[in-house]
Amino acid sequence: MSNDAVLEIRDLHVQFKVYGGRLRVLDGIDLLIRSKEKVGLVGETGCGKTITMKTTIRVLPSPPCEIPRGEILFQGKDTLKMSRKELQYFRGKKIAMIPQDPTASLNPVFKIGTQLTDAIKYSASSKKNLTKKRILDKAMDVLKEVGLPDLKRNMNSYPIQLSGGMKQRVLIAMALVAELDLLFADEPTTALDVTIQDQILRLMKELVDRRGVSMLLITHNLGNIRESTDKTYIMYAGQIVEVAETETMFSDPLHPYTKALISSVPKLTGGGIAPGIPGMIPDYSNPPKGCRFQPRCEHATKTCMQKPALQQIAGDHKVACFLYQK
Amino acid sequence: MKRQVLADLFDKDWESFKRGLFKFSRDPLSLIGLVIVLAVAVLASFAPYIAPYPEHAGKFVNFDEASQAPSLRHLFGTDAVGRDILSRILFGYRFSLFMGVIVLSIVVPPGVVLGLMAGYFKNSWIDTLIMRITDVFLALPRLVLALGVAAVLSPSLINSMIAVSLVWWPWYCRNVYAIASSIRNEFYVQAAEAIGARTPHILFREILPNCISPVLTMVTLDMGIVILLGATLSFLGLGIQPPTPGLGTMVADGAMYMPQSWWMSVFPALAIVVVVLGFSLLGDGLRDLLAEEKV
Amino acid sequence: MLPLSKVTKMANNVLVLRDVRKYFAIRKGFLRRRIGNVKAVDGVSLTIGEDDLFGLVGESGSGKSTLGHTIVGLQKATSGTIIFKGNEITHVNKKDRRPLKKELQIVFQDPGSSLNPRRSIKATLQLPLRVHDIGNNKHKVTTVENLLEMVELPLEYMRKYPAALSGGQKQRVAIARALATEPSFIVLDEPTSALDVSVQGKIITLLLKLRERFGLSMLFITHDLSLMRNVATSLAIMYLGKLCEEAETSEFFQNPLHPYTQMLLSAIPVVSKEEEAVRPKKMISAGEVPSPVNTPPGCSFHPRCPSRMDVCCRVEPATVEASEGHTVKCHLFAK
Repeated sequence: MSNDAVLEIRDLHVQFKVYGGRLRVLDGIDLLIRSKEKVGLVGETGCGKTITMKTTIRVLPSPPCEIPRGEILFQGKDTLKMSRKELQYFRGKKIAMIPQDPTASLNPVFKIGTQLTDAIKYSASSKKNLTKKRILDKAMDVLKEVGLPDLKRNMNSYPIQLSGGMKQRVLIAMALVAELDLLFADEPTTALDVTIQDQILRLMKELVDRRGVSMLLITHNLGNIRESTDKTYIMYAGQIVEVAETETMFSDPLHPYTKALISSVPKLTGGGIAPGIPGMIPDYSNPPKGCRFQPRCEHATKTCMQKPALQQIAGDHKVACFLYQK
Repeated sequence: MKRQVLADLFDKDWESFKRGLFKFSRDPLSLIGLVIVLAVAVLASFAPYIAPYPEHAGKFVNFDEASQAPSLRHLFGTDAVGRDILSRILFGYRFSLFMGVIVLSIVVPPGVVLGLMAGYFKNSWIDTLIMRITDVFLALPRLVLALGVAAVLSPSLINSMIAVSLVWWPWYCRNVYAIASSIRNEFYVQAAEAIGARTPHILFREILPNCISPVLTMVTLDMGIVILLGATLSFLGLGIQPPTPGLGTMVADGAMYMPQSWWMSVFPALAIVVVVLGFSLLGDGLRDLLAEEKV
Repeated sequence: MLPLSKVTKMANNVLVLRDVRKYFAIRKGFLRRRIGNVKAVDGVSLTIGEDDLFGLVGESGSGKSTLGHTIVGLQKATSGTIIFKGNEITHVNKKDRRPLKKELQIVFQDPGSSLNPRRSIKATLQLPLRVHDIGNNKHKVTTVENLLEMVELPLEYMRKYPAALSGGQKQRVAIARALATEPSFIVLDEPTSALDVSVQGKIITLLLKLRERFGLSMLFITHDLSLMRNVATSLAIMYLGKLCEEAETSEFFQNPLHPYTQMLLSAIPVVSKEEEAVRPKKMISAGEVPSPVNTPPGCSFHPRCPSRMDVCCRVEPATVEASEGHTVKCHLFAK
């Protein structure tokens, strides 16, 4: 285990018990985020990326959700074995999350100022030194950092008065009030316009770099990943299929799914529309055995009925595919 | 296909309906509610055959047996003129359910239709007209308005039903209005408009099916409350008149004999509590059954 | 005045818009007096030919969806002219509008809510047939089967309900529904924005196939310029209710003129080095996307424009033809 690892997920299996069976969503996820690293987790809707993140901070309701196997080591400690109290120490203070839809994530009946100061109060590591003035100062500082200069006005506004981009900045501010080690961003720009997306991603990158925080960016937008991360994980149906340094991932993708995904994105240079990937994501109550992509893969053989391990190709570049097994 | 029709009523496709039924059957409170409601319905329907002394529900006096405490012969005792309280309660259930069903049948269709229209034509004069009238009725407390109406009309079962109906319809109108006005902006309604569908189609075939399940829940919960309101009116002498057995009337009649002949008021009161509770639990269970599932 | 190149193509123009405006009144007070307007569409003129797949690109608040809705009759234009196949349809009454709804159809953005969750796929697909009284019952069923085949869905999906379908499948049903009355013009309002990129490819390929098979003209409303690069025949960029640039696709991408176009292009997150080379260098887009309630004076883009000049804050630029078929609304190119 690398000793500058902020987050290390090993062989994580997550299942949901529902009426009619068991959804085997995550099937042995391995993930590593080092200190100060910006990691991207790419996958399409339903691949389990949000579940991976939520399991790390244990916000999934436990009766339907079960974790039969796996470890999630945050700074060396297994979060799966932690008690609620221990988890409280991490949530909001060391790990924070920027959620997907800014409109749905802010309480519409409270002013921005209230929500921000609440976040500050809950993320404080100690109750002392928490005077009203300090809280307000901190709120002002963090709003300035995210580029919302009109402080008085913004603090006194209700979410409905703010645009999508501004709301997302507020959420980023709320995530950054603590002395973070790890920031999760779950599709932070999906609901935003393209010019605003650009601004927000750039802001996040800047803040993360300046504060020396590690970031996990979860999205299905390949372009965003390419421009904002150092390392990329490609996920399909609860399995990690490829991981590489971002530049390498896009210049030299190996896994058939990765290749198909990248070629599905319409290019600014032209070239027409790729026909997409035949088939659909599998039914998690009865997923394919072995490599879950094999029903849709043109290179599939009988060997693919066994799960391929994440094989190292070069440096950080690993692929889970029998085409590349030594 | 036929199973789907039943599921349609509950606003779901067959698969999620099955899941909902499963959830419902696992919830003890909902099952208790269902059992109570079914039991009351059966008791009420077959009252003439089940009641030990069916003739006590009408004009009957027998001062020899008056004011008797609960015994093997009269399980709930007798009232001041010698009538068996248990039998009268069973017949009382008849009238209560009758009232509930009739009132809701009168109230729900117009309320829903008006709500649909107001919601679909939101921000037009139709909306304003319907909703302002509704607002007037909503502004008055239900009990007070019902009392007022019932007092003006001569007291009787029919008139108390009219009174309750007048108070009740605006709530359906308001709730359906809220749902309809938000559904109205959904793309499938706009798609129907873009295709050229006419207004009645849009109201009844596009919007209404999406309003049914909350309405159904409301109806179930309301049954209990309508019954309670009816009992309140008859308790105050404005509803069912003697010798017809009404649960509220029975409570009122027995009130002056409290606490010695406690059974005269307590059992009818308990009967009211049970039936209202049953509908409430069933309604809550239905609400959960019909709720959206999160994966 | 339409550019000369457009006039010569008039012969087989399916849709012509001249200075179309759609304003929504802002009403306040007890008497709901009109105190202002939301200028959703503020003077749009364009022509779409028979074989065109016209891309209308813009961000939120640009009015592109409102324009699409106005064309198919879901909204009534406040002013301006809409000419469809040579006939003016701006102010048709309700009766005459209905046959038009067979010809002009729309596919909406969110597949999740564009199908009534309470209706089976069969009922949803039959709706247009019922409304326009097309064929007897048996014929209707056959038509539904044909439609499902056209959009490559298995026939047993007829009995299913939308909740059982994936986003891509729902969108296929929406497309089938739009085709039910054999329209000649379809407005596609961000049909793939809510879908994953691999599903998007399938839906777009299907749309292109259907376009060829039925000779459809399409207005494709989107914010995705990369997509338009690969499917549109001509493009226009819309900002706060006005068109700021319009050109045929190849000319457009070879020579993007308007500062807003450049800003959009530079903001696209691309996936390859080749694309980066073609993209204008990054323009830091400052400020928020404004709302059409308070449009800035002069050129509505001037608060965010890096090439802003003095005149831009006062005078609205005219639309000029920078080269054949390529119009732009910007003082930088004023003659």
